[in-house]
Amino acid sequence: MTGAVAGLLAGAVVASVWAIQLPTAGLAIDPAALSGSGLLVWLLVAAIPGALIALLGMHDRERATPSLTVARGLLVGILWWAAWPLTLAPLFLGRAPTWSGPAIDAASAALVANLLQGALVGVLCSLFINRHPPGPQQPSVARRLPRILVLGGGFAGVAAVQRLDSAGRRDRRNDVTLVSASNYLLFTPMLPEVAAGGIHPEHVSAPIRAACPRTRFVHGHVRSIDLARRLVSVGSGERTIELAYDQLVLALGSEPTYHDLPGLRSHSLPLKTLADAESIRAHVLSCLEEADFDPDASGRPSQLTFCVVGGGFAGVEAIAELRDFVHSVIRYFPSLDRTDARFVLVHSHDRILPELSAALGTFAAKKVSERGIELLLSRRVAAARADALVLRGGDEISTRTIVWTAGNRASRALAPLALEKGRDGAIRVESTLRSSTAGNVWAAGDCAAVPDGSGGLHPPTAQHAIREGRHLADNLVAVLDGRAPVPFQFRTVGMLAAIGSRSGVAEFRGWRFSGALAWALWRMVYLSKLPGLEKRARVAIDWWLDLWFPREIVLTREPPSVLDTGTPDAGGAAAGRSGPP
Amino acid sequence: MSTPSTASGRRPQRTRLMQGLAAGLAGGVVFGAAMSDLGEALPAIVSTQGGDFTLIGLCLHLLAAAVIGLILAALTRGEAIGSGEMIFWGVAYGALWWLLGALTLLPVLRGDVPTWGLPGLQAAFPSLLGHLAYGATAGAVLAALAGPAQGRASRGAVVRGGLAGFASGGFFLVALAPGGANVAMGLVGLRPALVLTVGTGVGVVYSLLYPRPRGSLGTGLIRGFAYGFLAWLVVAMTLIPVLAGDGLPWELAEARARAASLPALLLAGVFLVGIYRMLTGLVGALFEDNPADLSDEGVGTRALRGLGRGAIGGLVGGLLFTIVIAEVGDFERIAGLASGSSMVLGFLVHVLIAILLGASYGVLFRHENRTPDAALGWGVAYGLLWWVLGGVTLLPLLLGGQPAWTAAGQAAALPSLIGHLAYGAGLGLTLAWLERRSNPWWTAHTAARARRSELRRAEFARTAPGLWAMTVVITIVVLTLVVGS
Repeated sequence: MTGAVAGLLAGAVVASVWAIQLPTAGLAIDPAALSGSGLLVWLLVAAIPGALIALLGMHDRERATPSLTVARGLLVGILWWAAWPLTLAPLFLGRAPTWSGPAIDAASAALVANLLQGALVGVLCSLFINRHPPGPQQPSVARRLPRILVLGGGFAGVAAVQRLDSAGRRDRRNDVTLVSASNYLLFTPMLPEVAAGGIHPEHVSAPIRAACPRTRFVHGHVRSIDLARRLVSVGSGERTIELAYDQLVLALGSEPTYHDLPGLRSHSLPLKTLADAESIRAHVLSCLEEADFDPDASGRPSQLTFCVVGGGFAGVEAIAELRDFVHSVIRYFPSLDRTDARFVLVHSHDRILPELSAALGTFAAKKVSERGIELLLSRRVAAARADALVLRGGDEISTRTIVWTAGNRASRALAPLALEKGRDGAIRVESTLRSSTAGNVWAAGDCAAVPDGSGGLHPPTAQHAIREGRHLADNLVAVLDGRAPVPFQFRTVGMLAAIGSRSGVAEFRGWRFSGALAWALWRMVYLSKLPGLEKRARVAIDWWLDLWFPREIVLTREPPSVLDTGTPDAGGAAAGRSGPP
Repeated sequence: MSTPSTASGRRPQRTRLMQGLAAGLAGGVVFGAAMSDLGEALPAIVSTQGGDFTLIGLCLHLLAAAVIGLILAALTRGEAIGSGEMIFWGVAYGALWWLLGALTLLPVLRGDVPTWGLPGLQAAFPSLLGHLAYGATAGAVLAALAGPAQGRASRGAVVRGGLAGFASGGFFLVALAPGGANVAMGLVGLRPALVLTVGTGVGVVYSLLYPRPRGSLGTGLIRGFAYGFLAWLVVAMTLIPVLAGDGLPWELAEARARAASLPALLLAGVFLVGIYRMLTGLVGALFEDNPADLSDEGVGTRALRGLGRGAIGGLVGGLLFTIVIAEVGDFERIAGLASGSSMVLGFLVHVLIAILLGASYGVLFRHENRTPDAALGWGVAYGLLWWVLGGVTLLPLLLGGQPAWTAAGQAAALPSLIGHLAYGAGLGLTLAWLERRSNPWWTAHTAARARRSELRRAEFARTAPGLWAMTVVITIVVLTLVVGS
């Protein structure tokens, strides 16, 4: 500010000196033409370049050397000459600017005046600022910054941290730490395509460290949360650290739940993480290899039957992608034919994609069926074995591939917390996303039960999680600043699902359509939502190559152990599967 | 850096001032020789004594030159300005003294009214070139006495400079001849071999002055632009005419007759640096192993982000430029680039070009716009470069004509010059704002980034102010040279 005042004074003084020598030089305007207050206007206008020169250097932490400030002064001088005497002054006097030779001729004295003024103000600024150099802009260590601890590196957690990062850039500094079991943000809507080998696994994940460069990142599992002492215990291998917080953000997401069904945990493949998707791909390829290895084996039908349980977005997209994948690569297995492969979707309701309208859901079911996918609607799973899926009522499907997408519950790490919970263990929060039980605990995403204002809850989708995370961050900053938090409001923009063979279904605010256009839209929307330009480019290239070449059948990892015929488990407690919270 | 106050600290200060005196004297000798060649009653300071060019006048002139050189040394003491950039600073300093001394103080000392009007400026055009020559000489001597700030040029750098200069000589002969530059410079009678030789020499000198290209390619191109101006002053306006026995063509009428050589050499300078940087990059990629040079981001990420931000900046700058084009009524002509003639088409073509150039700026000047003045400096310099390359060269060529390099052609494009300066300012400021939103340099959160930021800061201090000042100098010369022709 002092620099600006110095520049303003210097500009006024310098311009005034020249004004005495040459009344019309500085402005290309005769003060007499400016009515009685002409001199005041003249001085004000003459002072502007000086103030601009000083203002330009205000945020500048460079040493104010004469060369820098004089160059700055010359630049401002010539730009001011182009802006004022050549352009604005004629307009001010009711003439159109022409910037032609005659106009420049008329304003040439102003050019000299503005350049000299700029250079002189530059020298004065250099002298002044060097006497009073700005101090280094470092965060104050005297005041302890509020410690914000965000648990979970999913959509909600990363969106919240990015927002807090952004608030930090606006000089509202916070001490933010993000804890996540994976060091990447996974773009879960594209997991079915990863499972089907359509997209490279790393391309649907963005490193959290790159996405949130100003946040401290801790790669580890949340082992316990002590709300009373405001401590979170985080483990990595054998080591454990404790992190203290002032504000806690819970964004741990959800994990599959098997409803205590026998054998499901051991013999099904979830689709929640990148590792899950890679396991499914490896498992499917190994099934094809085994079926081709011994064409006469009795287990061949089960090897070539692929089941997905759950008719929501993830389940429908998974079965459609698996079908496309198997049909795409089966040509490499001479003893196999497309007709040998069987695809089954088991769903507990009477129509698939319940999130969409009935008409669109019916259309999707019709399209899926036309492609040879069997739909078992209104059927519930009773148990699973290594070679069969058992349905209630006693029916069995002979299969070695069961993909489980039929149930999620909030992260297990939240279970011991003495916070009010909603369905499936989700933290019940107020509409401001603050816990209804603890004032310094916030929650967003799949692990939060967020009221939608009409008696229901916001659905656990990615688009909601991202908005909730950003809103949570804004509210948290508001509370830290002593302002009142604002209720979260968001209406679903639309729903999109790919149903295989370059077809899709879409619904946007009541507008429904399906087919190739919906599929293309699905791709465009999800491509645009991918985190980071680089990932978008990589996925776009993957898709482009997928149009021209068959999918990869290289088997680089061992298939998961679901083919083992071990003792069926009883479901229930998790066996320590790691993945993004 | 604080001013040394100890006895041991005073010695470098004294040495610096002595260097300034020597530099000023050398510049004064060049200035005086040039003016006497022109047969004018100059150096102008002699006129304050009411006498002609006498021994007393010469002493007075040299005294003034030495004092002015001393001030230059004092102003730049303690600054890590590169050798080549010191010459640029000398030129800008010379231009400032032309404004302050020749146009303001001398008339006052003579008891006259300062002559800031265009007739006064144009009458003093030889003096302007004289002051620029003074500044270039003083800057060069000061840099030479102070020693190489960026290290000495390697043999490979000299070879690359020679090759780049040879190529720019060829470019000058082949690509620039249609613009009339060779005619204007009196090169018609000269053998192409001589042009190529001169070009090679200019390239070698470049490699000696700027041995290690640092900073972005964009700042390198602006350096080439400024170096092209130096080449115009030294080679086209001084050495070639003098060696050809024509004397110095510094009078306004003669300079105007050779005006086409200015854009030609400005572009040749850009071409030279482009080739030099390309060769240096090639050698580095093939034969050097320096992991520290690797960026933390991939080229693709960097380029795509720069393209996007630059395109937005280009759009903002283009809309500013639109005000000029709309007032002048030039949209119909621009529509000719798309074989049309409607205003709407002209506007769309203009905006498209603005976005494309902005995108190129975003890539070329990434991480260079960290302060508002840097944004203005590089943006305005890029705008001026594109006035020469686009406004008076490519646009007329693409419309089926010849480059508008003559004084009259450049004068007709003066509104476009103002528009390009406004475009550059809008582009630079917008890009800086976008970059500061996502990657503000003052919040370097790791030691590695802080180190990198410090290196950029040093490079910035070394090169940026001199190049920005040269942008202003080139604009002044163009305006003084072509207005009214």
